[in-house]
Amino acid sequence: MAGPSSVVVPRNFRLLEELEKGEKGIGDGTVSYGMEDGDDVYMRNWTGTIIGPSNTVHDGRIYNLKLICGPDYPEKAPKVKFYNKINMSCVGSDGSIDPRHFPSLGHWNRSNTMETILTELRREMTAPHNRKLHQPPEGSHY
Amino acid sequence: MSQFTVHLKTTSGGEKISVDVKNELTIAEVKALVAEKSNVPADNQRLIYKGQVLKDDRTVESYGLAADHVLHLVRARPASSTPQPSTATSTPATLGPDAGLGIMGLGGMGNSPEMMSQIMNSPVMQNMMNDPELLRNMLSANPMVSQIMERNPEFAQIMNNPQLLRESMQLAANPALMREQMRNTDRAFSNIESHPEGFNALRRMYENIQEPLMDAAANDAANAAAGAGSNPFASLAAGVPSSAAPAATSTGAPTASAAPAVPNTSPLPNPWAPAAGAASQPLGGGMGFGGGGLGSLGGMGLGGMGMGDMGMGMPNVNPNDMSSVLQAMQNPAMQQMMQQMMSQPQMMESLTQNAVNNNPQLRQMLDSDPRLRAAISDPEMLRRSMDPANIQAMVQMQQAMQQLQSSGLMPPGPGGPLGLGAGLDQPPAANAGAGAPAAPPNFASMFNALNVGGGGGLGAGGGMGLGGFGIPAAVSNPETAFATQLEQLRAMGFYDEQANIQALQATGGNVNAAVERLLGS
Repeated sequence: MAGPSSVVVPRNFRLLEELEKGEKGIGDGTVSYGMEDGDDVYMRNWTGTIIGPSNTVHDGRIYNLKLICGPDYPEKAPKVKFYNKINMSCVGSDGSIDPRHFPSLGHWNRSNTMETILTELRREMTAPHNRKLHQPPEGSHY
Repeated sequence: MSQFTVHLKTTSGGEKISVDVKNELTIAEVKALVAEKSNVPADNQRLIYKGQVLKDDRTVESYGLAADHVLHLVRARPASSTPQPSTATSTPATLGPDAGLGIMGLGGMGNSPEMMSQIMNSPVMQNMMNDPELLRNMLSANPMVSQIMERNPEFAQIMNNPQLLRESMQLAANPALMREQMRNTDRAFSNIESHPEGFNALRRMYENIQEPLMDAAANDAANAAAGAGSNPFASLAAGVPSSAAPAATSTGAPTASAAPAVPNTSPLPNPWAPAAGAASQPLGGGMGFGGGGLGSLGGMGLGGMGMGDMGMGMPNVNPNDMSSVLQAMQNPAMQQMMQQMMSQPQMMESLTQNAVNNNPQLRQMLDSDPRLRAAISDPEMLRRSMDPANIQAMVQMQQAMQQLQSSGLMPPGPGGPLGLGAGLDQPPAANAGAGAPAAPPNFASMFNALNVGGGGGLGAGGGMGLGGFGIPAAVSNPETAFATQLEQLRAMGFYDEQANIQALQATGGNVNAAVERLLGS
């Protein structure tokens, strides 16, 4: 398996790959993501949604997030921020995610994708310490 | 602009809806179309595309939708309360069908079990199955199969294991066996869910391993089946990759037998496990450990790995070939699973208990040496011994022994043990496990047993095998041994040195797992 890991995929190719994946909706359908502005040639700003996992307080909610892929993505992790208010251990008071409390960002490696982040966040919502937290009213924004 | 098709995925999985839309349609109109094809009224629909919730008054074009793009359809919460089924009932519902699915995949080949078994029982097939070499050649001559093999090294391992290949063929040929397998899976699921942490573990395992695996298997099977017309062997091939799926699926069965040891007093009859146990018999006394212990525990390696049958099958059929185990150990999915297991002390303990209870030989061994018992019941020790690096070292050691045996330096039978015990003396604590119970006549076979335990991998079987040996080396001074990891943890904002060290020790130096542990506590 001369895997893709041996080839360094340049930023834009990587982002295009993710864009296509987002458009075609490959994955389990619980998260979704795409570019905020399809004309942005630098592919910096992305939006993501997480569909709240059932059997948690997040059930039935749809969370919007903003992901900013800097010029050195995927070497460096993107910045990730919630639009919708959420009460979760790894989310700061302004909605941004604290990499120190969220391993997928804190331990970023270039094989991670935005999908990884979103699915990990969703999984975080199901974690025992998060699933029962009292949540701000639905529809409130940062 | 002309019409094009977009697809909708529902979060509940299963149904996929396709609708034909035009650029100038508004989202509200699209929702009306969707409402016709699904049972979700337009008002309750939330359409998500590229990370945005689509607004009713905007047009299809404004969102840049194009042919074959996929939208997510979420049924919004009805105004009142959500009639969500409780955890207990809803979860088996999601897991259950998939479990069945994989197994169906096996027989699904011809859509008819009878036909399948007829084919399988025909003399030609019988011959073929008895000639694994032929079977393998045939399969690997098929470009599609070799492609699959290339993409999934685990699968390649399976293909190279004639015994296993034959077994899966037989399973496919025997509807009764398959039904049995399915029943077991169901029972296993209900068992596993009654264990407090069992369900979480199951879910994680499912997410991490089974889903991608099923995806792969399903794709591959579909490809192969598609080519059936042009290639007479393709349908056969289709059967095989999908038999990989049941292996994955048996995650349920074996896991259950291994993981939630508490509620499951009688180990589940696992069609794969007995074979493994039987194969291991010739190895002698110590093997009871590997046989019985693994029968239930190795199940983990077996199903957990998905293709993990090879993790079991290979080392048992051919104990000389540890490289497959090594490979299994290096599989990131496997390692991840091991970490997860290891970070759950109760589960580890119950696994151990289960193994001990189910295995008289093991119990005898334990009774004869309290130190071994202590080693086994020490979760720290178990966890450490599951460190892939350590297991690898064990495997190497075992290979070296094999070498010694084959060159005649070391008599493989009884009689060898004592000299050997001395030879292995470097890890002193190791003798707690190995030295003393060298009373069992054949150290070498015990060694094998232990290593096969490691082979099951994951398995607490593995943990136990190695636990017996101790592997005292690495962690003598955690501060220095884990210096880099500690550094990392500090950088991440974990300042409690003591807790950090503890977490690292518990996770065998894996920072990710340690973080999870630290956050969890």
